[in-house]
Amino acid sequence: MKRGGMTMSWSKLWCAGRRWLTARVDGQEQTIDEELMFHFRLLVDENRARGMSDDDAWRAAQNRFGSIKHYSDECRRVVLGVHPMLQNLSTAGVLVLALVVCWLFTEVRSLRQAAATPPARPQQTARLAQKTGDTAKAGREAAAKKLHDVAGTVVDHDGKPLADVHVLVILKTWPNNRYRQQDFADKTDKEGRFQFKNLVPAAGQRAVHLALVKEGYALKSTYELKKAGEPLETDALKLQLDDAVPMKLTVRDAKGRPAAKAQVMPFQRKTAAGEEHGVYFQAAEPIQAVADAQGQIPAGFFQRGDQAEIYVRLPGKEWEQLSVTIPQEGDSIEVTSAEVVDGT
Amino acid sequence: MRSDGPKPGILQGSLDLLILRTLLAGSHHGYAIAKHLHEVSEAFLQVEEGSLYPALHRLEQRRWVESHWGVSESNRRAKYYQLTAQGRKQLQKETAAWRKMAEAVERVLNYRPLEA
Repeated sequence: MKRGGMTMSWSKLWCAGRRWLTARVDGQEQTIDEELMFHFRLLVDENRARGMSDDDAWRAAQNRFGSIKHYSDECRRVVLGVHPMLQNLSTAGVLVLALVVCWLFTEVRSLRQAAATPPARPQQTARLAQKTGDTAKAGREAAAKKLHDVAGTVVDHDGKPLADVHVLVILKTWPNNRYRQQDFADKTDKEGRFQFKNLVPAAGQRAVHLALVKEGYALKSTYELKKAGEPLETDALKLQLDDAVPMKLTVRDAKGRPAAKAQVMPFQRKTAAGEEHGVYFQAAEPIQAVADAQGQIPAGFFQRGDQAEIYVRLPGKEWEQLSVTIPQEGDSIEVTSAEVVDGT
Repeated sequence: MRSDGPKPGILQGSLDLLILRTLLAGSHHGYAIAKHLHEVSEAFLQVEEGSLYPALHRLEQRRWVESHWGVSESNRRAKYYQLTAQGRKQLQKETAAWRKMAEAVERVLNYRPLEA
């Protein structure tokens, strides 16, 4: 039993070591990506400020910035001291070496014990069971590395494909018992298609939030959370958008004056039937728009009777979440910020 | 005075010096560092992101700068870098070395052989 206990403790030590190393590498990767993404987004802002449309601003920033993955690899090479391709190999190498040392230590100890007591068959059975368990675990880990696409088609209420729909994806995963939330954005093509390749892990707990935003259509979102072992089908989605009521939004400051150049984005809608659709702030950058000099902006993302939540940011101020009920008649709504426009 | 000619990248080895000097004024994120170098050099120096971020991480590894996460002026989470005491010393060394190098290059460029 002593030998079994010793193997168990080394096994725990091995798992803890692997978790620590993986978490370290994983954490570094995430912060490097976040840092680079921050820079990229500021380039987009810079392009927008020069008067480019959202699409042109993103395209120009992409052309200028190039491959985030390439820069990320370069940074990882500096931080972790090895080429990213070799990183996993070197990590694995160190761990294998550690395991071999542990195994030798355990074997020497067991040989000493064996000299004192006759060998016991049940212990061999236990070791065999552990080996079988390791193989199964390796299989599960290989499956976890497999990634599925998030892809599909967006159509209108007549079933016709809808182009230029913003598709905002939030992917939630829990690698090594740590929470990770990533955002991705795309627009549908002429056939209403969108595709995010190799995004969702096939195994482990994961969740996908998908929001569809297009002026003239009611904001729609879906959310799927699946536990480890439960299938999650995301590679052939068919999504339909309902018409929205044409609406013009006026943003006012705390003194009731039109807030020129306020940034605005639809955030959430709660229908009269109680359904909720929304976007994550983290993913919402592509749908931010700027009000005109009269503080007005088209806001056709809702249906009559909806409780609409709208994010508004007056120039130089912080984002605010403002609510408004979409009226049963008329084509204009207003929201009033708690802030005052500077210089007026 | 802006240069209309082709814009060279940062000279080999000088990027670290320029980053350290920029951080002497206070903590900045990578984008602000690139923008500062571009503006102060009157648009002559264009720091490629592919060089900037590995350089920042290298400086951090050498403990010449340290970083922390904060909220940027655009209300986003950003990684800020600031100079350490060790980094200040390194900046002094590199500034002195750079000036000596510049003087030496200048002497070579100004050299006129004695007339026979």
